[in-house]
Amino acid sequence: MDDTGDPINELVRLLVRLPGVGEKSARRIAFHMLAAEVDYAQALGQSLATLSTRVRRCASCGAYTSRELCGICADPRRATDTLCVVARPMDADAIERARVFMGRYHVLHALLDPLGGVGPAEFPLGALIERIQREGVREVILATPPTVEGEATSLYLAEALRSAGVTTTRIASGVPHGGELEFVDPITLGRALEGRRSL
Amino acid sequence: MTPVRITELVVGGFRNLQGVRLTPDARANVLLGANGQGKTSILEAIDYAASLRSFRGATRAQLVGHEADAAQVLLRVEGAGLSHEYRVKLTRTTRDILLDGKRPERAVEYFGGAACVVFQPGDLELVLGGPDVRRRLLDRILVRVVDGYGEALKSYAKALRARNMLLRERHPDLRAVQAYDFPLARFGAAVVRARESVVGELVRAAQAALGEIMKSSEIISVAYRAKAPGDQVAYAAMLASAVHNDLARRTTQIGPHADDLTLTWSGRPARVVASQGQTRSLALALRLAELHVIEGRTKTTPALLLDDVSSELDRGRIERLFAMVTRLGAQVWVTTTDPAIASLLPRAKRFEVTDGKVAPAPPSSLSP
Ligand SMILES: Nc1ncnc2c1ncn2[C@@H]1O[C@H](COP(=O)(O)OP(=O)(O)OP(=O)(O)O)[C@@H](O)[C@H]1O
Ligand SMILES: [Mg+2]
Ligand SMILES: [Zn+2]
Repeated sequence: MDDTGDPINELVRLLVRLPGVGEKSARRIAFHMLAAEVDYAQALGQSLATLSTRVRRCASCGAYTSRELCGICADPRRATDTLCVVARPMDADAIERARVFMGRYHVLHALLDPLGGVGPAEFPLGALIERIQREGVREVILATPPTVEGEATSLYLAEALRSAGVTTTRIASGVPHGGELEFVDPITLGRALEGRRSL
Repeated sequence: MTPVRITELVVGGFRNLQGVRLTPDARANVLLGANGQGKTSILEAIDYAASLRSFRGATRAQLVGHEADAAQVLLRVEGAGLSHEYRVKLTRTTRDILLDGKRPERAVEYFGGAACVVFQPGDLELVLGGPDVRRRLLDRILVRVVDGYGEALKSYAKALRARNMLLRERHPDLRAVQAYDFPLARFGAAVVRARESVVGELVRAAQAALGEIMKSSEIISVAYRAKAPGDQVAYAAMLASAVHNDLARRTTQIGPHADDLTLTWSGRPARVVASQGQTRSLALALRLAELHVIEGRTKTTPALLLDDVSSELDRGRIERLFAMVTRLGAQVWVTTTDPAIASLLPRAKRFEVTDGKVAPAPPSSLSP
């Protein structure tokens, strides 16, 4: 059977690309939309259709916002001398929900990942350094994820920012691999190696 | 010790196998058939479901049947009173795995329960082949016995590929190269520590197996000489001091990806001095040592899959091997073209493999 052009199958094909949605639940959602009130499907469609024009990146930190500056960057009570660097907007959101960090964020939208096409030339280091200098940031907290790319990025930034005269700390990341294998964090490691690196 | 017992096997679209559904014996199973019928493929399907690798080094595309869209293997395994279902579906480009109907979150969860040890003609490479074959032996054991090893190994490989890619650039960015020293040291040191922790047991077990089955009193020794240290900080320092070498060679030279497990036979490199028979004995001894180490660490006895033993071992050794397996209580699977070998396991359940299909065969006492 040729499915192309069938609106239900088209919707299903789009829905299965969502995280955590398989073929089965995509079909369930599609049929739910058909059974639900017309208003609902239309409102959802409208909301999705205008998402990319209504939401943009904060001019200062890169988080998603509908205005020029996001709520945090626009808030004068947030400290400007401490910056928390994250990979994705949702990482900033997760830290924000813990309600302990009072500085501002910087969303990289990338990790150093040469295998994935982000080598040092593509990595957005310049924008970060510029912002640090412009805003007089004195301390940077590196909150990239504890993955291979996240760890490489944190060491890359720690070294780059150190030569720019900024102190960095690494967020405690819970040991992701657990069990019998234990690890040292990159900043501790960087300190342990400082003497040797200057050789 | 709880033996791993495969209680159900269903295979379709894997190599030449079609509609295979069998209920094995708890202790001993013999797969009989002429050349090219699918005997080895059955063992390969079992071990693939248990280890997610082909012991013949085949890619997914090679495993999926020429006429099939996908290969499917279902393995039901009983151990420690629990029954688990392992399900693997392969297409030429994808792989889906389910443990008890769910995607396993951690490798050890998956590999923990269904350990198999395979001995097959290609295992001569353990002695004669390159270091990668022997590293694979260590890795095969360690993913099952050290929590986090599989993940560490994967992360190490990824960091290594990234660092080497940066080293191959026309003008390598030193800061970016060295940024990978951290993940490389973190995961590499963990790999080294795990490998070092298991070698002693492996040697002792291999020596014992050599004595019991081969009646050999040769002294073998096995050494894992890691060029990188198992201490993460020392490891990173070593990478830092070797970076100019790496830049010159455009690749990361030192690390567990380049280590070897050296085998010596009466004081000399086994590859050079062992005769053909001794080479086979040593390879089998290493496989039995694999079984022993997994058994010792996990308290479960892996199933033993013996492919074509009659081409590898003489009758006396086969008899002693079967006696040892019986004593261990391991579930054993034997493939052979020779009914005489099957009769060495008189209580085994026998299956006839013909053109990718499997049917129960009469017990050995009935065969001529
Ligand atoms: N992807 C595939 N699709 C279909 N058939 C395949 C595939 N790969 C291999 N074969 C074929 O499957 C058959 C079974 O191979 P297998 O190695 O299992 O045989 P065997 O019974 O162990 O033989 P032998 O006694 O010679 O070792 C062979 O004829 C082989 O050519
Ligand atoms: Mg075979
Ligand atoms: Zn902002």
